[in-house]
Amino acid sequence: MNHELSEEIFKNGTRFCQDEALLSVRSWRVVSVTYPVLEIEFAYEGRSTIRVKMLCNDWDELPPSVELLDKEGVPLAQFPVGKGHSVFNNSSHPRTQRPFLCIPGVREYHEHTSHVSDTWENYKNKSGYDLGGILTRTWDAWKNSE
Amino acid sequence: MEKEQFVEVAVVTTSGTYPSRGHARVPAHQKVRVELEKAAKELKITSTDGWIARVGSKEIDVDKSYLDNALSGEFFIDWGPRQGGGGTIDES
Repeated sequence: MNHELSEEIFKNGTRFCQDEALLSVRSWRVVSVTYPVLEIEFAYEGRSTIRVKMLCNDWDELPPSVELLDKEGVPLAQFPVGKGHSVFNNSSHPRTQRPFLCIPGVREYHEHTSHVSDTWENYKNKSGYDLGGILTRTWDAWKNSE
Repeated sequence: MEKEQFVEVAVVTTSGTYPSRGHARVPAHQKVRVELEKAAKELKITSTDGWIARVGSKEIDVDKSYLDNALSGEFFIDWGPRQGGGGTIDES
């Protein structure tokens, strides 16, 4: 994908990083919003603070690759376990060999052999699958994890 | 005749905050959905299927009024998509 175009779409899609009301209500802290990386810190009462790092190269032709990090920026070796059916998958992803986030809109989901038929094209440009939507769903899952 | 009650509401989403500054003053007996629909139109959000609204950590019923949701005073409604399902992973 054209680098300049991808960067432009990224910039337009990350304007929420300047929305003080949103950041305050959700207790989000912007760590980095420099293309192609969007990194946001999540804090929530009673939970260990984490960072979500979204690698958005070739956005939005490709969905973001998502990593969960601790508050120091070190990748988590073990993801939080969700209630019921968890979207945090602690098995080794075929490409990264690391735990991964198993939700549509995340590159590791669509790359996984169990989901190759559920392509990114099924979600691209749909509501809730822009960068803010993917981040919101990640945040919601994290808050509901144990 | 009872005096009309009001609440002060702002809606936050990753597409923007409505109103862009401050809070809107709306009747407390009005359904929450009314203000969300205004926010969606103003912020150019085309579909909100499956979205949830929260005040603080509490999910609210958008088809009920602010009074019915026990909301009063000034607050933000946090509105966005639910986590969404993952998929079953074949571990074999």
